[in-house]
Amino acid sequence: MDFDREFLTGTVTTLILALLSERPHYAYEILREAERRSNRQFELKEGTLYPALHQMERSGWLASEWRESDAGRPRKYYSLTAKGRRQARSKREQWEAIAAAMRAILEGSHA
Amino acid sequence: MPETTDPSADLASVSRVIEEVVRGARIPWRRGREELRAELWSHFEDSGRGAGGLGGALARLGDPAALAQGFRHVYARDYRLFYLGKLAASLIASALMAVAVQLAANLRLGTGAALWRLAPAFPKALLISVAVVLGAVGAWESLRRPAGAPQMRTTRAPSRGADTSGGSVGAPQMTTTRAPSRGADTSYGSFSPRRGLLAGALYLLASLAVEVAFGRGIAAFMAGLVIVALGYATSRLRNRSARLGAAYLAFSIFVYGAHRVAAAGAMPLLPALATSASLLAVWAASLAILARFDRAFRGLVGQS
Repeated sequence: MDFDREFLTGTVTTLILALLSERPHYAYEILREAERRSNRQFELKEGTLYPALHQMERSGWLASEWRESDAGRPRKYYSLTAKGRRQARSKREQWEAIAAAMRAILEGSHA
Repeated sequence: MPETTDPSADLASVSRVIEEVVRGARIPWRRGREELRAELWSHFEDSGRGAGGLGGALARLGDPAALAQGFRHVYARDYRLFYLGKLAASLIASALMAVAVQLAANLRLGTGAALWRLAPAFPKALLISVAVVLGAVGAWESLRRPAGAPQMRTTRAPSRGADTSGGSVGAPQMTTTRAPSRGADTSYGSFSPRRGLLAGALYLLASLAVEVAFGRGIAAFMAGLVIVALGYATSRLRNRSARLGAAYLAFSIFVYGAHRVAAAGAMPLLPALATSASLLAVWAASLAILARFDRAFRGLVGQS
């Protein structure tokens, strides 16, 4: 599905933080994981994901380390810092509140 | 980007795209650029296993300029800090050089108790020289090609360090390939009106400040502006000797003429030539310093 950009603005950060709160990921893994969990509804673009990861790392939300991979080249794994974990919690709470409010409004309009 | 079936061609395209993104990102430290390069190679290694191979991975990546723009936004503050640092360093170095030139040109053997003294024209010559330095820096930053623009090319040969022997993305780890320098230090790139306006305003402010402080800023800064304009006009000549000769001639005519117009009486030719020579030294030294600092800056931010 093609989403209106307006809806997606701000969700990328929440999505990245949510995935990284489970375990460290490398960027390509985040792309695929978001795609898989959303049944391919979400197709994150590299042009959005990579700068967002670098921005979040510079903001101190993420830490990174290079790990050897069986596939060949080392991969850059991102993980949450303590500040990042706080952000992840905050974003999730905000998102759930917004989603609940929106659901109530949308369902109310059908009643 | 069209998909190809030639693995080495795809690998060359990947290398080209990665270099374009890394250079366009303007990350002002080498390690950051090397990490980004390695991260992108690693991305293509994974993405290249998907549909369409490396060609498909390139297509999925989208416009490399847009990706570079995204990174540029992330590192913009650091880049600006480095740029301002370069600007300050080149300004200070050029001003110190101007002081040294004028000290050497105006030092005279004393006749009384003091063994050495400075010629009466020293303060005025120094002021004009400082104005020339400020004008040269302003013109350089306004008229030069904006950093990053010359290197955003898509027809460059593949990286020398890239492994093009196989079909996999088993290419170099942390390559440090750079685009060949265009020698843009003295080239006349696109004019930046915003920078030009800012440089002009700062130059005017400096002249007013000096006028208020010493009562002689406007005239000296006007003279400095003319010297800079003449210097830029003559520096379009290809031959270095011709360039210096033309600048010296233009400066001499201006100094001699300005002195007469200012109703200070006819200036003897020899002092006019000596003053012009010192101004030429200041002008040439400023350009050399600016070019050197510019080169160093471009190297630092990975755009040389």
